[in-house]
Amino acid sequence: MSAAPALAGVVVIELTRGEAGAAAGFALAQLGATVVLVEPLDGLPLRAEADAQPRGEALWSAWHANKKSVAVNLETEAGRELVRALLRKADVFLEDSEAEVERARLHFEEVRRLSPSLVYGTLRPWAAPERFNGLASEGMLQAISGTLARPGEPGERPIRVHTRNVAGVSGTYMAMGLITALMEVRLTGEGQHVRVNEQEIALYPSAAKYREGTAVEPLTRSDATAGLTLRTRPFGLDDVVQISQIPRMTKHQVGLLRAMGREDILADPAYQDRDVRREKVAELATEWAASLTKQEVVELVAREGVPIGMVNTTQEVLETDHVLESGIVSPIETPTGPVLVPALPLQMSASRVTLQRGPHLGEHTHELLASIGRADEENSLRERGIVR
Amino acid sequence: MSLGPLRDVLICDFSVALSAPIATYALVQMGATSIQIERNKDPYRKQELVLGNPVNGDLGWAARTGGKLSLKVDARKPEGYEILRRLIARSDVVVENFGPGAMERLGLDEATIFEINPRVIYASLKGFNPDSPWGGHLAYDNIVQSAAGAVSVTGYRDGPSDKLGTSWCDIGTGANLALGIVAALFHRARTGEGQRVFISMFDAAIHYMRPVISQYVASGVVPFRNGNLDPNPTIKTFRETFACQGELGNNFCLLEIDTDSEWRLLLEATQMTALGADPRFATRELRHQNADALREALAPWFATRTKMEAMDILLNAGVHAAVVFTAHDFMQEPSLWGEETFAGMPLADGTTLTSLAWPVKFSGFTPALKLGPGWGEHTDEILAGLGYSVEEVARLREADVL
Repeated sequence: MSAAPALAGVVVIELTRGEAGAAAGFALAQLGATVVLVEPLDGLPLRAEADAQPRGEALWSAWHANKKSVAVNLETEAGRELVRALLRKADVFLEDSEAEVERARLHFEEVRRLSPSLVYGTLRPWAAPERFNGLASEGMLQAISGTLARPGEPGERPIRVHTRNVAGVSGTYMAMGLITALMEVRLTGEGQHVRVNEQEIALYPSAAKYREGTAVEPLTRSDATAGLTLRTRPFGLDDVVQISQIPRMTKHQVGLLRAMGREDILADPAYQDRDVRREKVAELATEWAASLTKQEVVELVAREGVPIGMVNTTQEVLETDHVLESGIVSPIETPTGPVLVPALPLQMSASRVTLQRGPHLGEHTHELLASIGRADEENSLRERGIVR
Repeated sequence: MSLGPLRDVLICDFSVALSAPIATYALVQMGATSIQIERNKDPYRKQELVLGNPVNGDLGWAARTGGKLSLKVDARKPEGYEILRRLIARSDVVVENFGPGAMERLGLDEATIFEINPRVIYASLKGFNPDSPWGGHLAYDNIVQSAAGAVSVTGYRDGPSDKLGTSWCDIGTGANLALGIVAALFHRARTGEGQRVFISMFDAAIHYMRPVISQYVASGVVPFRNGNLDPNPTIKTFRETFACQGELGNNFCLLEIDTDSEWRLLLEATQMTALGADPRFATRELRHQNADALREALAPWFATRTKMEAMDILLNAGVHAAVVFTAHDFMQEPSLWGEETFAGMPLADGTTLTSLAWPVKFSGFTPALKLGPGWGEHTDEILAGLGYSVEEVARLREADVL
């Protein structure tokens, strides 16, 4: 196994302001790229938000772990020239803000002139931004694209999915596109422009349900859950297990009955019809589960080959031993002790990166100035308010 | 550069259902060739037939199998197994997302695959990590959403929890698997080294839970489901969906108000300036704290117009708002589309189906949308490519291997 991770040596200049862009940079950093976050002199707004919290490192690092930070004043030509110098030596430019690109004067055509082999990534919320008067948010993206959760009856209010999965998944697709474009650079030496609109990413799962020429009913609770939900002891709101696809399949009905010790139902002439039996199985399971904890129900049912899972709270997830052991949430060191940060969910046998805290503001300004042969100007650049 | 960057990549594709097919579909869109191994019909084919839809004309099916090749082969028969060994020897990537232990039962465990082809990228997707206590469990999207904590933060406060609106866990896991595979291909292009790539849906779900997890760890305040307000009570944005005029259940408009200036814009746009004097709504914190009262105060304004009217008034005023759409609604509203959101997919009868375009756009090439393959459509040509003669193929078909 080689010592270097998959993207070792790949240099990414990241000029992002939103979560989708940060997520793309995060993924590239976790795959071993050197990701340089270009920040304004007073830092990204997320820094202030993180600083206001007792263990803010967890918030900052969830989006910016393993990145480097250079603080540059892009209002000045001297600042813009520094970023151009960094881009000449980089492999990828990642941006998610028209305003920042305008300020930095780093549109695709301008960057292409600096380095024809550079891969340029652009993330935007909308395919038709003018229609939304320049406004965007995760909630708006989910609403338009049919991905809001639909609890309860059709008349009840739909709910935003709080994982902010549109931004997160858009970031994943962007990272994938950028690495793929780097493959082209290897083949032909040519860079290119890779663009992702979050709106189109959000549409992908819901459009998959769309059939041309047929009216699609609004999602209702039964569509959205498609499973048997059982309450368990001690009957807190989250003492719940989910069995996938209300046991329609005979083998799942048999498994569930076996877990409950009720195979007698299978021989009962009243329950030979699968759909009739399903009702009975659901009724028995509801009663049976109420005598056990969710952990007990999952253990007994899963061993019979029935797809089942328990509802866990965030707290429960973070207190589960095997979650901590697997490294999907990893501790990073901070002055106040270790805090847990979610990692990239990939396990690669020849590419491992240890999660490291996100950078302090301008932590790598000196190092990056040195990399472009400008270390001797550092003091002057700082005094003139061009870097920090 | 008219072909995608992955033009030299061949995938031996055992993916089924939704999650892993999304990964290999992504690779195909970026130029790879995927040979989908289908001993039995893909369950989604069956589903389409049950629903009475033409298999290939369905957007859902095309959006995970479009452009793939289909090889119908029974790997449990020795000659079928040999076909797969030959295919794996020539492949750059092997992808599978069978239930726990299924690849091993086919005689295609990790050691065997790397013995056949040491340079291959062997990518697996499972519900849970195999060495965790849940490793042997079967998993579907809703089970993983539940286990990873996403369900518990979705729903009204003090009410039951709910699954998310779409199978985002499948999508997110598939997207990450494709990310891992292209990173491994990049690594191999530089070092010649193949590797194992693994992802569990559970880990992917936790990854996408990071906004909730990181706020919780940073603040120490336990998250809980709270309707449209954030599950992390440290985030004070007022957010709600309001019923407007129109068909019950499909008549909602989303509103988000964060700063005081947005609050003033809302009051002007809705001509409810009197609310500006109400001390319950004077600050962001108070609007969050008194969200129920604020919802009641704003509801009548929404109830007297359609969701589109409400959205347009609010957007024009600079207030974050959006209609709550189904995919069907979206397809009826071209003003919300981008120029490249949809593309035409040619059908066998010469007509064209409008379909969602591949969402990652490259300046160097544009992938053509294609239908999913028929079951075993490419068996003969794939076998010919693996060195089987026409007579051998006929004999294998006779013996029910193909």
